[in-house]
Amino acid sequence: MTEFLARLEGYLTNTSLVSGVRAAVLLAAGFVIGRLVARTLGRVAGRRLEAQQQMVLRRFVYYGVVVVFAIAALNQLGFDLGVLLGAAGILSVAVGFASQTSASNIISGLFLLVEQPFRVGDIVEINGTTGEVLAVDLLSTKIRTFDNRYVRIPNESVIKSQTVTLTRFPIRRLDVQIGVAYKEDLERVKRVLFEVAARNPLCLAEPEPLFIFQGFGDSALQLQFSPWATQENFLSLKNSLQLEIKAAFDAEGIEIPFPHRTLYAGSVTEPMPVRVVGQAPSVASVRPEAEPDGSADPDA
Amino acid sequence: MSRRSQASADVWSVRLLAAGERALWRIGPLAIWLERTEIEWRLAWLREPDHAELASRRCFETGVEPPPAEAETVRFVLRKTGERVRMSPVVPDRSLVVSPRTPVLVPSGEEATLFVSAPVWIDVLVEESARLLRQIAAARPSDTWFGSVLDGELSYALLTHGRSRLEEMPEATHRAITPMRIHNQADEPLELDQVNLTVPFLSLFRGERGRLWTEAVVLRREEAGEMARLEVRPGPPVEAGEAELVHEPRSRAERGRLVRAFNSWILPSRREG
Repeated sequence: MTEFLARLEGYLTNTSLVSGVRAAVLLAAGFVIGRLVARTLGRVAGRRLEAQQQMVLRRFVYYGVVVVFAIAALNQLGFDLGVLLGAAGILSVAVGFASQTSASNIISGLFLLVEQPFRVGDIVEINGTTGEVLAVDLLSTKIRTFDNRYVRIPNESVIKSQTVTLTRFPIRRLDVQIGVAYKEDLERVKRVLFEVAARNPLCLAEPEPLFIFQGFGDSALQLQFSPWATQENFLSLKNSLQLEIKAAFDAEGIEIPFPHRTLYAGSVTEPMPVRVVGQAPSVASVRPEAEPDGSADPDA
Repeated sequence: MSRRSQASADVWSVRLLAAGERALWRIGPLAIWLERTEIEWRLAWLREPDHAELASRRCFETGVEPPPAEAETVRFVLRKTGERVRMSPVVPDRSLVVSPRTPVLVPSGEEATLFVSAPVWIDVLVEESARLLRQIAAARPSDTWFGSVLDGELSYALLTHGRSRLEEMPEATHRAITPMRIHNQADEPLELDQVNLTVPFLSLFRGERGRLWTEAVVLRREEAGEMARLEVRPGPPVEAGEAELVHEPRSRAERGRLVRAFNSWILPSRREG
């Protein structure tokens, strides 16, 4: 028994064991305190920050606190911090070179979170991909396209390329390109278009629709008609309005021409001969032709 | 089952609908069919274009034909249906941007009253369970935007004659009249091009001859610009005569709230320039 107690005393007075326990306690405390601080700070800043920004803030605070406690724990274990930090510096250079792309994406992600060219839920167009933003993470931006594909775009590409946020402003203009025949009276066409817009409840009365004469096309007078709609009604208006324009043009007898082609066989050639084919003979008047063996007509 | 057919011009009172019975309300350009079974309501409605000749139409009928195929239809299936049903008018759910057909000018220091009539929304209510089956616009005005393209408010566009004499107002079952009193206290004349009328803050009253009214709205423009102080005069307007409250406002207005009331106004001198 005395031998056991002596051994226990030996263990307890052993400085390396005590240091180890202290280091472990410090590390555990670091994890707990880090989580608590991050959560509290996230909650306090939650009113002002977006969900993504909150998440980044929480993670930075959490890992920051854990690193501070980890350094303290290493100090307890007797590590020389100067040497350790020197080694970490060399290591970070090596890691930096190795993970250049990731670092660039992370920094781009931070810029995206600060600049906020779009938010989660916005409809964006990036590098020819159009869809709804699902998440803006540190490394990449996740987008759901309208045909339900999941697209991950590295943040570096997002920062470098032009992004179009379609849902940034509450209303949008719909540009409808229309061609009408040269014979049409444009004032009448304009009146019909404005009447169609006035009848459609989704088409905003203000700002007024825009009517632009684009020019003399190959086969048609090119017009642009641009009414406005709210973001939510944009697609519905796009569908309903174009159908209504077609119906109104049909009702008013306004022609939407298709491309015309005139064939020339050369400037000095005679007019092309046209052979007029008469009416096809009716079935009753066609007498069956004689079979090769001459036995086709039983009445003959 | 033989159906007792009845017809009446009162479209807003409580009606008793027996199981298996179908009724039709015609309120201006809107027709509402409601069919009751023991466990199901079948509601259908059809909105014709808001033409003047349909405006005064008001009719309640039972024992009617089924609604046409193009009517919008919805079914409500529940444990047991009640028999007391009512159509109740309510103010539109968004503000109205009122544009007079011909420009109206209110000189400096003057006051003007314009009567604006706007279509109402209709609550289809089952009295026993105080259940709102549906809210249907009697006429759907066109959407419009009030403010800049970056920041503004979605509203309904209302083209109005802006009549200043009540006698000239035509009968319309599905419209409520708002007397709009404009006080131009600014030094410059005010040309009313567009006026933002925040109707969700208004109550609805039924006045003499069954006309629907909202409270009178006072827009006090104290200085040149787009802003005006909006005041709602509590109670039915004097023009309504004996009136009863039909519906509370959708939302409560702060007293003397400053609203962006006038979208654009041009001084005649500037216009000439």
